[in-house]
Amino acid sequence: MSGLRLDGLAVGYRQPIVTGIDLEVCPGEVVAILGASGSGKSTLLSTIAGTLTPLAGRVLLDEQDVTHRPVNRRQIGIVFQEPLLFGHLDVLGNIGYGPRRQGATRAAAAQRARSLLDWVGLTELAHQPVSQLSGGQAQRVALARAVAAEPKAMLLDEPFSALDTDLRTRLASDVSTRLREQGICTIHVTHDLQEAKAIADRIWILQPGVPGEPASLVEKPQN
Amino acid sequence: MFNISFASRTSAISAMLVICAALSACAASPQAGDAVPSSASPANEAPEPGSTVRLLTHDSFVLSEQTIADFKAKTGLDLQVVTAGDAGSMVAGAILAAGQPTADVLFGVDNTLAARAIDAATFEPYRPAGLTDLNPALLPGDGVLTPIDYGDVCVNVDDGWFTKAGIPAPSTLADLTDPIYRDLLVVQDPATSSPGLAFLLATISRYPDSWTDYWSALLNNGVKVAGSWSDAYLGDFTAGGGGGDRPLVVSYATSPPAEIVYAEDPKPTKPSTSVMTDGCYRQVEYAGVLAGAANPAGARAVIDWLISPEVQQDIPLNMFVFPARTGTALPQVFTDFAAAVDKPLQLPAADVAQQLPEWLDSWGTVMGR
Amino acid sequence: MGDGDGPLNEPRWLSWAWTIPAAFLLAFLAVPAAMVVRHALDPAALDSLGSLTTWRIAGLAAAQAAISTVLALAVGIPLANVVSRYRYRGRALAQALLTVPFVLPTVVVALALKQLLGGGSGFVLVVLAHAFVNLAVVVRIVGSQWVQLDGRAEVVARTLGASSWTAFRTVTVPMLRPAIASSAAVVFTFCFTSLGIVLLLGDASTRTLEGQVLRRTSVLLDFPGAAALAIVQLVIVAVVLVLGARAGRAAQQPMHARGLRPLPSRMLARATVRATALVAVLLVLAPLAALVVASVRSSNGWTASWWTMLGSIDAGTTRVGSPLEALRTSASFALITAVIASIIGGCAAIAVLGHRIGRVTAVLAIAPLGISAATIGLGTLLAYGRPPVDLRGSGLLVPMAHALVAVPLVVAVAAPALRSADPRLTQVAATLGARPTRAFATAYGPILAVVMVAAAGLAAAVSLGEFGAASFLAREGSPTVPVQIVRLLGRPGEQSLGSASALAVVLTIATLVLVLAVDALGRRAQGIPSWRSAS
Repeated sequence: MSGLRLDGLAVGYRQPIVTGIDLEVCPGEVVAILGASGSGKSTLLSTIAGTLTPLAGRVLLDEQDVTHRPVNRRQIGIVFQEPLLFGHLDVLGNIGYGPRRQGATRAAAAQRARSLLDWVGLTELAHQPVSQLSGGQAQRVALARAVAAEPKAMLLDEPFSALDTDLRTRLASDVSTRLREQGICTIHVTHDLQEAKAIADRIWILQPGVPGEPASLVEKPQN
Repeated sequence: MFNISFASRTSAISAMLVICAALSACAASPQAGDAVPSSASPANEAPEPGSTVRLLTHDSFVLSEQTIADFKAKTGLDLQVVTAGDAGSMVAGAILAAGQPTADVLFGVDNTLAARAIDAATFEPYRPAGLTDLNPALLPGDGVLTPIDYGDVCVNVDDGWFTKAGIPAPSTLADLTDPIYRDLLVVQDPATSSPGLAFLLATISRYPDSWTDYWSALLNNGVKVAGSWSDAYLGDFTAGGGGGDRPLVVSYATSPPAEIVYAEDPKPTKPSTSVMTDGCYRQVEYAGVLAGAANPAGARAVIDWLISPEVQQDIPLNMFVFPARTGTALPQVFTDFAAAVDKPLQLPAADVAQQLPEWLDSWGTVMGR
Repeated sequence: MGDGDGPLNEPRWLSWAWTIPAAFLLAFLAVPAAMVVRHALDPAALDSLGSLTTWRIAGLAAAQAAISTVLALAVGIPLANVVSRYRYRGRALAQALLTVPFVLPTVVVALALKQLLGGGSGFVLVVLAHAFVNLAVVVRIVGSQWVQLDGRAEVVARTLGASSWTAFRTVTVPMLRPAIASSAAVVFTFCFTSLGIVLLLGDASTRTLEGQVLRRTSVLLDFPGAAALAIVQLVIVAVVLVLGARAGRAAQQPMHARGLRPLPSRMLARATVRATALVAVLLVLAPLAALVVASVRSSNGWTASWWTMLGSIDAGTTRVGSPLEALRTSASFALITAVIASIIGGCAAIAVLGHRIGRVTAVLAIAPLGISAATIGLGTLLAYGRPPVDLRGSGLLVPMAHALVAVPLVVAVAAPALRSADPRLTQVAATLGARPTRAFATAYGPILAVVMVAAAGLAAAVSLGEFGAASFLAREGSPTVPVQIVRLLGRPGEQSLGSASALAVVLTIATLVLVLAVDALGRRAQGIPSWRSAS
């Protein structure tokens, strides 16, 4: 099948934090992973993104084993809680960063960046220094930047938790709709059940083990 | 919170006040050159007992503690020794402060710098009574400075190296351009090193009209130019301990005895180096009363003391130079191993003062530096 | 908020912080310089300005300094990464070791490098020595900013398709630009105005204006010419430092002060970090090892003589001060220097946050870097070396001169770090009821504590190794250790090299202990502030 598949994955630094992860995300599907802070969510995402080597298991993308493929050749995007925009580039430069890395000319990258800026509804901010963006704007730019690189899968690491509730709910469902449109496999990590319910097609839970033992990932029953 | 901000402002303000006071004090002090004629006191007036006299000198000034203590016992004066870098920096400072000196008496101005210092009215005249006891060849005849010691800058030879190589050591300046001594000599840059400058002056004195040709010949013969004495002697010289590869170095006529004195125990019976006694340049170190001295009588007492037999005897083993006083007994290691230079080279101080910049430029052009 | 021209919640003293460094600079820089210029003001000075040699030397020195700076950055940036960001055993030691070359007397560095590389002199040797000595500047300044960068920005770049090298080049380097620019400007200035290394290792191709100033002062006694060259040098250095400061004014960067991170999980990356740290250690240890060997060698083979005689060299003469006494002198100077330099430099760095005039003062506080030591030494002597203001007896003259040299470093370390603190914290604290000073302390206190301890250590270390001013400023009593070393090196006989090497080893160990202690303090301070613990 096409999409993102985690196959018997165990993650952690030396000691396993989460083990036995088997999860499939289809293109255009949004899966939420729910867990308390410190439960290993970020470690899991780092492993999928490729900055951390799994202790066991495989990461597959469109049935290709990418477990040992370098981060920059995985086509997996990530958006963190903080927007982490590049301060030396303007808004357009940030969004065009991915296309430039993939060999687009400066003009082509700018064009793609503009269309994604329209997509997130910030057309008028093209040449704004990123330090002048509001929290919500910055996070939308971060999303546009991630999508501009045309990833097959997207990892969202509590991307809206720093925003106020109203904006968060609106932005969260807005974003998942847009990612579905693009046919991207999305894993959205959060500690907020309401948010998870609002955006996800399916919800998985990081279930802590007995103290001293690794956690496991289980699917939440559909009711 | 208020306290912090208050304290900080107060200290800032008081700091400003201190600075203002300092500034106005500086502004109020007379210009250099408007020298206060403090030499109003006659030269034979006795110094005030218990007063302090300050001796400005260079880093290399060394005497026995006992000798210094004797000065206090004899004169009742308190001697403060103030060092201010090497001879050049020290004299430069004294010239800049001419008329408003930081000390009363200066020791360590040599014959390359003396004329400039005198021209700048750095000193006031003094002829000590003991002048007649000094080596007449050393007297500058200006009535201002008193010679205290002298030393000769000569090429030093690593005897062992030449024995091993089976070639005779060079014996004259002219020999140094002989191809059999190719790549064997290291000298110092005259622009940065005092012995380096003395060696340049020696060549100018020997070849007044063709010294640049001589240096071209040295250059063609592979002379190496080091930045400092330490660099040349301790670094490049084969016998300097630094593992160098040059058996000929510009140094002093007293370097061989110093090799013995500063050797590891048990001392060798004989130094491994010797001195080429041709082409040596004589450096004379003088003392003088600084113009505008606070304690001119004390300053004169210091000069009298510096040429006394006690100090003169103490000089060789401490500073590795020869005493200016005729008939001063030399330590054994000097009589055995220091080179006696019969015909040292010298240039008139006025010529040096006037032409030095030009000479250095020409030297730089010849040597491509 | 950013420009801070009197927002209501700023403490009132902030707009006055500039007065303390300004007063210090006026007293110990402007007045001495003015004294020299006044004595040297002369139409003849124009001759040396018009001289082709002057400009040729300026060009040579600039080329030499540029190459030295590039080399120091090329080696220093990877080392900064390895010794500043990762957590592993021996990191603190590696970091401290890297600081040592910078604070060792140039004469010791030159000696050590020569013994290691087997002699020689010239352009390559000078560039190597400059890069070696100034590595610490790059590692410290760049490292202190790097450790605060959010490494996830680089992860984001990699998920967008950048290779690790591209991510470093296009994301990390721009984020480090303020630190790189400011360290490059400082290193360039040091190399451009270098004297000791150029004298000891250089040849015709490595002359500097500073060398010409000294030559005109103490060989040619041409004060107008010396003053003119000193002013040319000052102008060039001022331009470089202003450019550096401008490039350093950075856009806001993601800074989440995540502290030290564990070694990377991939074997290769892990090994790379370890190997780089090892290279850093060897780089410093190799010349030092050469020194240690020289201190136990004589023509008779191995010996302990040079060490056993350390306490008794020249006993009974006016060549005052056994090496142990010199060590005491040096230590007390270092302590005073650390206190003075961190107060003055700290105020200058804080002033950056306040008024425009404060920012100007902070830039001016870097000026001592560009003024020749000879000029400062002479001027200080003229201004404060005799009645009515005679500071020689107070023993403050040398520490003041050392502080003058150290203040620019303190500012260079402190100002970027303070600017990286979030000014909104002041407002947060104010809204919670804190008075302005308290609010300021809340926002900047923690980072200020860390930075000041580090800066004070750097200042103390500079004082320990400083030679020029200490030898130039007339004083009585025991000399400092570097002066003592140079005195020992100034005479023939194998005792000279042996004892000087032994003393240099002592100085190196003292410096190392000091830097290690400072680092340990800094790490403890780092644990305190709660805002540093990132999510």
